[in-house]
Amino acid sequence: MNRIPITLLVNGEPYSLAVPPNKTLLEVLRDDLELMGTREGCGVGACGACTVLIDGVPARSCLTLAVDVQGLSITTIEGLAEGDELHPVQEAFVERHAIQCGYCSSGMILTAKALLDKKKRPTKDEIKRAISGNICRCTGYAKIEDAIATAAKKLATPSK
Amino acid sequence: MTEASLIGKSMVRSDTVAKAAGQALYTADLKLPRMLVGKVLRSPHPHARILNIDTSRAERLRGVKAVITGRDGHGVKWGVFPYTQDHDMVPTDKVRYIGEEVAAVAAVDEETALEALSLIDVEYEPLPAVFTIEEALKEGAPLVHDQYKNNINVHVHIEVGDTQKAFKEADIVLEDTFEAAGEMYGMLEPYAVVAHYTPDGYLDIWMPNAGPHVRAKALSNLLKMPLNKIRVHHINSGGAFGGRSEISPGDFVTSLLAIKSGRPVKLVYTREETSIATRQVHDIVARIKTGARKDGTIIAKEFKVYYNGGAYSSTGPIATSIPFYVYEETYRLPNLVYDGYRILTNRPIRGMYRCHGRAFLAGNAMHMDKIAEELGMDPMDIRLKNGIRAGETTATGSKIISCGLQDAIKAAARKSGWKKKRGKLPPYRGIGMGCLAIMCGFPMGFRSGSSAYIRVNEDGDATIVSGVVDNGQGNESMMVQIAAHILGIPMDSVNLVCSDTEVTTHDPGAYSQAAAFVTGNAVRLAAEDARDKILTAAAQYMKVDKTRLALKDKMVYLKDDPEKAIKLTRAVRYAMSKGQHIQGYGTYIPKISFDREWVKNPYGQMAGTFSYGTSIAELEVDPETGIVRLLRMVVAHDCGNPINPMAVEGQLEGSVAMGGTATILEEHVWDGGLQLNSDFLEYKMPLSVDMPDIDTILVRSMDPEGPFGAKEGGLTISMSAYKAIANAFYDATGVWLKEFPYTPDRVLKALQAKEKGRR
Amino acid sequence: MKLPEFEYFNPRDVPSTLELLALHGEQAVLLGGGTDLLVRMKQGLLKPGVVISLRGVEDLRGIRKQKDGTLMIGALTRITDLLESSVIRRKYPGLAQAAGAVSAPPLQNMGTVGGNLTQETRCLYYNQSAMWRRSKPTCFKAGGATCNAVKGGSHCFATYQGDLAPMLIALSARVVLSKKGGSRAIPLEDLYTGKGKIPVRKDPDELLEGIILPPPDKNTVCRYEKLRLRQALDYPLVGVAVCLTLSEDKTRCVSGRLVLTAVGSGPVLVDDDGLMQDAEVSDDWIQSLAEAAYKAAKPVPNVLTPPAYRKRMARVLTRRALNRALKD
Repeated sequence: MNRIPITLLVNGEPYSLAVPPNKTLLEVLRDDLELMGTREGCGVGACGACTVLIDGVPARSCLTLAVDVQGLSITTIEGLAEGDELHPVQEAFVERHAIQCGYCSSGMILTAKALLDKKKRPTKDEIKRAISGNICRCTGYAKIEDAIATAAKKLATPSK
Repeated sequence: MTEASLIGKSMVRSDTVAKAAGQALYTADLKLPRMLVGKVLRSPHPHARILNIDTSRAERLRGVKAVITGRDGHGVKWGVFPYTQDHDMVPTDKVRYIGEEVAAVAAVDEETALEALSLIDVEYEPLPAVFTIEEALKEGAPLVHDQYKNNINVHVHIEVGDTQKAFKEADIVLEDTFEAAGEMYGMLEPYAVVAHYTPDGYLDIWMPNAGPHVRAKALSNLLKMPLNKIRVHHINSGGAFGGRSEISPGDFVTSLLAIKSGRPVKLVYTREETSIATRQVHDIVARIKTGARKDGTIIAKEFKVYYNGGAYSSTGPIATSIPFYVYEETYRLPNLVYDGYRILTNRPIRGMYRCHGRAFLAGNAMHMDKIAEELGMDPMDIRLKNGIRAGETTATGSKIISCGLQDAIKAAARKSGWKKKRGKLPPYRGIGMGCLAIMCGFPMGFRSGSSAYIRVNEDGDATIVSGVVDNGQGNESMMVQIAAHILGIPMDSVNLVCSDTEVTTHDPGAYSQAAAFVTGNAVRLAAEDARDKILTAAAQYMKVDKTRLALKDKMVYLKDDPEKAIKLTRAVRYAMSKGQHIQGYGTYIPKISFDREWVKNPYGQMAGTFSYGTSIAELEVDPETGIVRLLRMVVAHDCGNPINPMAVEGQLEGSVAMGGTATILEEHVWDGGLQLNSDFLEYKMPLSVDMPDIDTILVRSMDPEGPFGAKEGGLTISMSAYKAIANAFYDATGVWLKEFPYTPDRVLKALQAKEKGRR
Repeated sequence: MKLPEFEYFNPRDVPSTLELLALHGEQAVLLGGGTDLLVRMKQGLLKPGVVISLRGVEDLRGIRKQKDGTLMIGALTRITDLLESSVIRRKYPGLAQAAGAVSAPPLQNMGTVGGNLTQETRCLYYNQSAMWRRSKPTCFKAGGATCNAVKGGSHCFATYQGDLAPMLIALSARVVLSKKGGSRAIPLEDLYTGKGKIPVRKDPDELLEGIILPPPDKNTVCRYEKLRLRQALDYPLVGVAVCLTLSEDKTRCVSGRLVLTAVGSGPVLVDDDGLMQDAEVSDDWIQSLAEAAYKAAKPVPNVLTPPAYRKRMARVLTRRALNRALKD
């Protein structure tokens, strides 16, 4: 199949690639860019493990054509930490035990980050709602919700 | 300076920073040079004879590097027990369920592999099939395997006391049948295997698993290779819940493809394949008869429980027994007869599950509440009365050495406002209780024990080598915490090398609740051994008596004069200079009966110790739609002594989702042998918005054998949450709903039946 | 899961989209958010030769008030945009409610109004992988001659499960369909065939540009009730949308519409037999509308939970929708 030359802006870095149009963003991230933190759980958009941020908005990378997001800003889990320093949302997930098997974590963390970018102090219901499209089989969500609330507090206090 | 203490502190888990950063690798993330893509051809028939398989067209396709069928194997059938060896991983005679492995290919890319599958011609002769327990047991029903008459795969018969006599003496006798549909394991990570075979005869293999050593042994049998040439490597696992304990045909298939092609092969299952072709959960029909005295004492039980096992034995004898054992470990049962039958059908293979046995366990819980109601007793009191206590022995002969059941019941009741609420909530709102025990480790014969090594380096950091397996529970971190605590060093000074069969020590694996109690003890002993060696060296160096020394903050100090201290590194280097490297070794095997056998001799000590838990559910039923909303769950679990309390809480909360909310939502739906909801959209795993408020309570019974008093952490809640919900539903509606899950149509039907009865 | 191969176009404006449609019509599909289309393509239910991605067609996005007081919602407007629009929230709260009931926030971020309205009918026996479908005879929807869900069924019974259509029909929305050389606006209900196999009636070269909502009426009250097993992600088992224009004193219903979803192969505009024309609001009136909904609902066993249950729920949800709409 013919390949289409595109430039993807992933975690602030431009990547020039030639991709077949039927390749999903998930496939390009994993196969071509080797960003393995974006995970496939179901392939049909039902679980959220493959969530990335497209222009800051959580989206299913398994249901996004790579050729469709050319020029848009894509954030994957690898793009959150700055060097060794985890992003406050990641930090909160670690501290509050919001991670067990870890397979949903990338998608959860990115979804949480997008929520907190939009809403500084989300209510418990808003947190629940925001992650209601992301399945976690391990935690029962309690510690994830707790971590998001904790992250909100962290982000509200000016960094040390 | 006081003694170091990390135990009982909520510590950051050692594995979660990498996971949060997206840097933790799972099997599907692995890439090796010249790696091929594997794909499996699966049976479209629930039951059919394989007349012919022609792979020649697939083999000729450009880019295809290997095609295998069952003929490429050695004809060895897999079984957990000698008497259950019935599973040809890629069958050559007949297929027994839709989705069963028939052939597989390895090709340069996914498109080619998929095209190759379409070029494999298989001739089938479809055979009549059976799908339900009822169909399979019918006189003259088609047999799934010739050797299992009437499709009865396993029959577990347990008899204690004189049940008939006891029923005659009983003041109340109840008899009911309870049914539950099977669930999906639903681990988020699809199953995946990477295998690489080198010409010198070694097979390197990665897959999410709960027991690398048992995997390696199974592969060694099936591939006829020496055990030390099969190297099952450590890799993160995206959830297991009991579904990754056994070898999977995917392991076998990928190995054969790697051997045949001489190149690394990666096989990643689709979600659908993960759902139908790894393991599923048994559907259960349980007939329960209960006899009790006027004072509420349960004196007789008779159980006939049928498990729909699917096409192969899998862990059959264990699966057919576990619901019974967790029940007898909870309550005093002087007279009982248990008959558990695992029935084979032409459905996918069923295995052990975190919440295994909901029809049976919830059924017993409903009986207990029924009896309490007839006697005017508080359901809490009848549980306190019948609940087993430390020092007692279970019906089949397991001594209980620690038991926090009474405390768990009382603590959960207090927290939930039980006394104020039970029987007093407004219509269609209810509260209910359920209790359960769980064994810390299954009897696995010589595999029941674990051992560990610890080396302390010249920089004062340590490396643990252990067979511990982590499927997400936090087992790895737990071992690090135990060792760090004993050695007086921070957790990030401890490295863990684990679950790699050629490097690490034996371990029973992470599917029998053994990690804290068994593996934890082995690591504790290894760390204590290393500490002893450090203190010995330090004592020589400092010229003091060893008993006066302790470790903290990477220092060796005098307990009675903490100002006098040397660096840990100094002690380690001193020892090394004397040729005494600091290496600790520990091994632990629980005190279990070795002559106990699941079918032939189901009596004796089952496990070293047992955990206890109580769930209290509060819910609301919409009488018009039948929708049940879980409002709050209060769960109390006796884990002996929590090593990492927040990690244990996480297990309890996860259990509320999988055992609790699932009671309302989860079931597989079928059209004969075809699963209608193998995906995450139509199979209803709970979402954040479906979850109740959760209160977790950690009960401390300080187990005399467990490391720092610790036992298994959380499974009792998975298996008692549905009991609580069944009883809460009755409290809300006055209806005993005996069919699971509590979907709105079932609920409405039950409410209507009650209405009719009233008129 | 791999997507099949196709030719890809990403036009930047409506005219060039129409041009492409005129050229490729029959073998082309339009890609909006992808949440319905790409899943079906992955499952091999659809192998279009051409995919025209609308992502770059900016003029299809947005919510615009028009001179005549109507509101135009572009086809590419996301569900999230509906939820965040103050005009929708204030003037068409029923629509905001239906939008909020669609799937879950991450999918609301992707899904578009046009995609939601033209989403395919669904069936537990059809929306499965190619591997799964090998075990069953090819069904009507897949081009065969059997229905695997309704034994002996003479046609396709696949179920329409959209959340927006019922509310938009209740709001008397019109849909704008354009092709090279012309546009037409038809009542939204006419977009639907009511047939499982091909649920949307639109020429292959036509583009759904958007929908037009009549001006809001301060005496109109709306409500969407959705029954589902989980409180997010799920399609409706039954959905009921109701819009009532009331008399000033709210004692009479001047006019109104009652529309069901997930109980047939299209949104079902309930034939109320004039019940909603200038009627006195009463419990009996509500009950008779609920009965009309019950009669109109024709669920079959191709969605989770038994049809008899879902039919009853059409009655219960209608009663609720009416009561709650009147209370607001």
